[in-house]
Amino acid sequence: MKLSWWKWLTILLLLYTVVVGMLSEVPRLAILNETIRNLYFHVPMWFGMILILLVSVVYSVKYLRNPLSRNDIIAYESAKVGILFGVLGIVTGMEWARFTWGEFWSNDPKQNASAIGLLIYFAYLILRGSFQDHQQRARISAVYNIFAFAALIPLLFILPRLTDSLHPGNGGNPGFNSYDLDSRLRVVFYPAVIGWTLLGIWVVHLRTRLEVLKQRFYENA
Amino acid sequence: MKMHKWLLMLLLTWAAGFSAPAYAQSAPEQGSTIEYTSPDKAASSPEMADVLRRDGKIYIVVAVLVSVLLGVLLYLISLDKKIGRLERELRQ
Repeated sequence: MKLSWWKWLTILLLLYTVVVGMLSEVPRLAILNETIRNLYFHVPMWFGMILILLVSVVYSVKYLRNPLSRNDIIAYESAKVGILFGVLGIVTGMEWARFTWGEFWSNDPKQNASAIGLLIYFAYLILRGSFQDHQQRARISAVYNIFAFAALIPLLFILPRLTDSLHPGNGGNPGFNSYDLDSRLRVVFYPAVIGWTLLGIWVVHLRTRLEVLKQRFYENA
Repeated sequence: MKMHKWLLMLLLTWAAGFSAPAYAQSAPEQGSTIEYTSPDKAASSPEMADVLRRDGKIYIVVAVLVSVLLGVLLYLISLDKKIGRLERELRQ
């Protein structure tokens, strides 16, 4: 099969994540038990979301500097994939919270902040849909996208740390807790983050090409 | 093409190197499962294909996850090819 090297890398890393992530030895901790393996599947959703939304912001800035429709398309498609990752992150977090914290939604600062962050991005999609003019839509949504990303970072990484949160790595404790930093976990966690993020980039790549094709098709027709 | 193959080879060795310590750590546990099925017990009960039933049947879950993942990835690859074909058609 003729696939570019980074797509092979994606496949390899994801297979590695699933197989080694399920079979390798992990720290034995109360309450967490085997759910500590969610570190390989739930956490990379958020890391992937941030990285893909960063791509989106970069292309929004690029669009404002150089208004090519390609820049706008990449910004929009990566924002959509980033939001998909965020939704998967919040759903997997809720599933896990039900069995470790007791409730699907316990109004934890981390949960509330990530929900607000996602709502900000849902508004981006609605904003885009409310313009008739292509250039106006691209320009205003690019500006909004920059503000949305700037609001997302403190919501996810700063505010939950200022109060008490049930979420691992929060509640006045920056970064990962000592048990998250276990080297046995890292061996799978970092490849998992790269793998899942590359999967998102792959989808962005496909959707962008499809959108470009669509535009060219309508120009010719 | 050649460089890609080299990259793949490198990656494979890298992944193998990474997974080796993880398996090494689970080795003593495997030893204990061997102790559990002690020789006299193995002699009394007929031999069965127990490999995939070991460790609480976790290997079945791994097989399922790998299948799902491969299915999704194959779908992505086919989409990739279809879009590539359309791009070539439009260029002509």
